[in-house]
Amino acid sequence: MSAPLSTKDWAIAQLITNGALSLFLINVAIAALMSLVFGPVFFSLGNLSGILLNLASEAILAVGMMYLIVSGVIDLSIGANLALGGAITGICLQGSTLFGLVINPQPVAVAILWGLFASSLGGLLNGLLVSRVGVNALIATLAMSKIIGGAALYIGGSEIANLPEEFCVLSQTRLLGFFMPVYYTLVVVLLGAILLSRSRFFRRFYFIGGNTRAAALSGIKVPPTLTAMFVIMGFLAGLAGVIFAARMGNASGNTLPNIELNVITAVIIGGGSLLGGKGTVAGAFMGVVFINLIKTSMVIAGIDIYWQPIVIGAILIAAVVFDIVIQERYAVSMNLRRLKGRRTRIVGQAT
Amino acid sequence: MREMVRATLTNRALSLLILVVLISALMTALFPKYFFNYYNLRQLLFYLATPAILSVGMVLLIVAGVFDLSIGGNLAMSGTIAAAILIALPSFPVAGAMLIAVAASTLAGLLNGLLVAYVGVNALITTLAMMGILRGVAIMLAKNPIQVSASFASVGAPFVLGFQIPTYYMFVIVLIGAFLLSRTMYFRQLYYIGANRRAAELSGIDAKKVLLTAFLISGFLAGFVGIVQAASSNAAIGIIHEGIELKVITAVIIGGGSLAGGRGTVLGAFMGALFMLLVDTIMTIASVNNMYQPFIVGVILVLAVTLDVVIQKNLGASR
Repeated sequence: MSAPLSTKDWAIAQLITNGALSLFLINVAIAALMSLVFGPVFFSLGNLSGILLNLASEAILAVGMMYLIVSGVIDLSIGANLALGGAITGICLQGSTLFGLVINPQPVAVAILWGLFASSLGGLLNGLLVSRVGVNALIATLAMSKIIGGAALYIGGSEIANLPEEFCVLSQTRLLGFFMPVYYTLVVVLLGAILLSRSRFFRRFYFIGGNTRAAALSGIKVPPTLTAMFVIMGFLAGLAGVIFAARMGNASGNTLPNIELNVITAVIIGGGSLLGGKGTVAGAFMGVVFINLIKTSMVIAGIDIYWQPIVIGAILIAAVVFDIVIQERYAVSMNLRRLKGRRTRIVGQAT
Repeated sequence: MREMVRATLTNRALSLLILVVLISALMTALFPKYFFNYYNLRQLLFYLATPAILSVGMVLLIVAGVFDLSIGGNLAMSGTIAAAILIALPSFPVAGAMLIAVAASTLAGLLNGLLVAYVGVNALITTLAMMGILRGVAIMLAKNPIQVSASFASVGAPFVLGFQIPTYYMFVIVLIGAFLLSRTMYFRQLYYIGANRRAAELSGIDAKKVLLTAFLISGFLAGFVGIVQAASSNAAIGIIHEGIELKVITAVIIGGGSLAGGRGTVLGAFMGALFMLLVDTIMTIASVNNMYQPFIVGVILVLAVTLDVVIQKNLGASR
């Protein structure tokens, strides 16, 4: 029998295999360092509240993106879909004419539902293209991002300003020092994490991403599951769009451009693999926190804002290379240990 | 007859050519004054140069089952490096500054290739990260557009026989690329790598080296386009051509490439780029509202990729 792992080995194994945990520790270390160097400029409730508020959209999107990446697909249309959700909610709140149809101002709840519905519909189209027609997810969602983004731009225009007060309070209210989007984000992330790790339907994502054929052969209905996943992604994009519109008090057809690339970066840093089958929601969230922490720290340290994409890009490469190197070395040392255990056993039997 | 239809459908460059001719004939009939004239042709070929040259590098990668998202940032970096050197050291030879810039872009391609082929990082992640880095460098170097000198502009701006120089660069590069990918042993290995990398390696192909070469070429071409772009528009701009990588990938896919690897040709990619530009041009000439344009482009793309999948399935089934 092989020797049980020592506490130290177990701790190292946890750190290496649990991307969320190691990222959490790195985030804590960065925060501690920043607090030591910059004192109350960094270490304040206001700054914490600001960081969490700013990462709300990315974190909500990261939950859905992690689902997709775990399953081995991707969605480049989430930025457009986010804008669409906000824009539809905006025109439903304010009333407008669209394609000759007169839209009367709707109550807040109805307007939000329309926004969420529109984005979910965008997700459904993505899902059908990928799972039923069989178009590569990257190309399908890239093309769809033009359609969805084009629709958002047509509907929302450059800006739908002055959204009603009773809608804006949804995001502009503070509770215990934090704005409401922080709480919405935490709810989505927690719910998303529990579903992916505990629910049978969501755990299928890992099987599909790990080996689509094997998943299909073992009875998982891959196309409907994939479609559902894209609908969830669309819904979350709409949710992020509504929350963001309420926070800003306006909606536009072109909010948060390129957010999809930030979200993918965060998910990968958080331990997702584009090959599928790997990743956790907690890891994705920690990835979002990490990137926003780095950005905020750079601003507070007075570093030119143009350095941000350079630093984030370098970190992304470093993280992935580090991951590959560690995984390989760790796998090698684990195998050696197993071999060694077997040898002592055989030698023991012989004597 | 059925064989002919099938041959046309499977030869993407040919079917796109027919489509382009049909669209052009229709446009000529509808807008005789505005579509079929020298000025429009000249501008079309000029604007085609950038995506067409980049698509040569991209098709090599897509055939091998990878791609490069950093070409937009890379071309911006190349133009701004050359311009920034000449601003900092006005007496520096223009050709030298351009060479350094293209070398920097090729180096970025080398880094992409090393990370993807040798370290084993996913191409999307590698080139996504590199996109941020290179674009960041470009914007740092040229927060405002840097005007370039007349001698700098002379490599991209002048007209020769009625057409702008980049048009000629494009034809030369596309022809060389088409020859290399379809006729030379070395580059045809990309198809094997894309179809089945393990099998290719087991049969003796040095996949790492060939992949690295493809990334090098992609970086080099991006650097070259960056110089030509800055020269022909008289300015190096940090934010130039944001998002062009996705357009180029789309052109290659429409031109018969597959992100799964193993499929695609240089001529197909060229026709794909031409087709996409034609769609843009038509909407401008037909005075389609700017607000509708991305939507219509998206619908055409979705139809194109859907049709592709359907055709492939049916051809596969009937065979």
